[in-house]
Amino acid sequence: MRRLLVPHLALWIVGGALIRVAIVPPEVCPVATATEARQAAISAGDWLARSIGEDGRFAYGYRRDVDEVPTEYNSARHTAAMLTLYQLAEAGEQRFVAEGDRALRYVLDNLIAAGGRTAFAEGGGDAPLGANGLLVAALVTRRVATGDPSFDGLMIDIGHFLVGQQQENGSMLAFWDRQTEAPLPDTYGIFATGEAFWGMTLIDGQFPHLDFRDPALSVAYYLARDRDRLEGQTSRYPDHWAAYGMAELGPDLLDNELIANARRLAGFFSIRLRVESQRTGEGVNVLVRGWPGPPSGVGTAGEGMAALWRLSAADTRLADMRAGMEDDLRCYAGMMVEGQIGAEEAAAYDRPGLGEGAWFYRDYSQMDDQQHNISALLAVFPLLEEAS
Amino acid sequence: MSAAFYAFAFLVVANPFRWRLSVPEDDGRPRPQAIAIGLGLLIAATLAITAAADTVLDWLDISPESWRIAAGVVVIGAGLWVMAFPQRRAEPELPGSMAGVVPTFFPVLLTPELFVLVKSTGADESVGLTMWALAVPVAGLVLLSSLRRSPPSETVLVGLSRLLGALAVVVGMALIISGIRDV
Repeated sequence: MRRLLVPHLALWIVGGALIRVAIVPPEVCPVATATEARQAAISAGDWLARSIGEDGRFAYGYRRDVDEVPTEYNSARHTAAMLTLYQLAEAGEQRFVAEGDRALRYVLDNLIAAGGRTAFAEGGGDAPLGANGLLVAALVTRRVATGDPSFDGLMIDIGHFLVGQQQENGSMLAFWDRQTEAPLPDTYGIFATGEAFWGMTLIDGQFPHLDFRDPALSVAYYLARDRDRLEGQTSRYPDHWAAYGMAELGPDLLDNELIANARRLAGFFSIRLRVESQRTGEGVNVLVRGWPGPPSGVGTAGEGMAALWRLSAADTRLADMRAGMEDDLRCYAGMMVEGQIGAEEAAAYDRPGLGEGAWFYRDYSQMDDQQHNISALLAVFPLLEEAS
Repeated sequence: MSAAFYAFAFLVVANPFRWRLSVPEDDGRPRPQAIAIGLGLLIAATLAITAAADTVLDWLDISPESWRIAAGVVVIGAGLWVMAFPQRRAEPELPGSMAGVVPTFFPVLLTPELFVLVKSTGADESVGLTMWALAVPVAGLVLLSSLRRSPPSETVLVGLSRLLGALAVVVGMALIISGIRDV
């Protein structure tokens, strides 16, 4: 009998242990309250605000182990970070309007004429589609947060610039070339199309009579049908900007094909967040799951999932996913609240101001680590508030 | 996933042809008492695993979707094994009616791949659906119990066992993809 059972039981026990370690490590989800999530977003907003220089640019990042601030910069990350400051204002933290306006000054100093329209282009370079899409999103958010129509003309003008980058199949060219004074052919941005799509949906929400809806829908179908194949992706790209755009379009404009794309995206965001919750950064877990991911990446999954969760409240075709989305979002908020650097820990850094409120990936924090997570935490806030 | 998928998954993962090749026999025919006891224990175990699936996964901090991925990996491994070895080697057995427990219930009927599938289905679906899906291979074994083992029938059973092993690989892949894409 022993000879019979021991090999079988050994197989069950060893197999079970292997599965536990290699395939399903525990998904550890700290609990965060609505207040904690909001405070984390504010603290990260303060990081961004503190980092704004005299020229209106943010500190691009901070390497805490060698006390180094990189000199590189990225215009899309600039407009995205500015957007999050206005999102904080929209959420009731009005003091961030002034901080966003400091960053806006850098944008206003770098506007160019682009094909009869206006566009943001850093340092005399080509005008990037993505940065301008997020600029529109920032200006719309500012308008909603303040009620101030001062920049309506600019946002509409840039909105038309976005539409001018669109091709017949709905795809968006990533740059406007200053030399040829035309969109640069055959150049696509991995994030830019979704950023422009979201910008167009937001501006359509403010000015429905201006017909940004058709171009936005055209991008939505391109993203759902062709983008990944035509732009050389080996798999479906988990595009959180596309999720934002679809949430903005709302159920009436989303047919079953677009909803199917929303469901696919939700699946990608979910597995990303679940894997993140399995990462401990220690021992064997690093071999099977890797290091805890860059905070910006986790934040994008949180943003995308939160956008689709918002859509699911209005669209019954996503209702079956809602409970799972909520589990993932609560887990996301808990992880980020727990992982944020507090004042006490930051005090030990050479530059505490570039530590407090930040999320680090292996001793490095970049502006978009804060930006994505501010947006996501603010979006999760209503869910956490429901529970409290 | 649909009820039809689960019925198919249970059929190919449980693999009644492989079951039939491995249960205790007298003169080439399965022992009815051993089959009855083994299947009774399997149904009871399935009920228990299904009922406790959510609680156990919660306790282990595993979401049902992640467990589905794990189940898919195990099912693929088992499917490949069955393709290579469609017939279990002869197992020692307990005397008398206890042969319904060992080896019929364990290790022949309750295999690791069936266990992970039951747990996954139990976490995702109702007890009723899980039991309905289990009824498919159980009915298969009951039907095959009337089959007397002979060289030709054994050849057919081995071939069908291997075929279900291959189909189990497909089911495992479907479970993994579903676990990755689901929320």
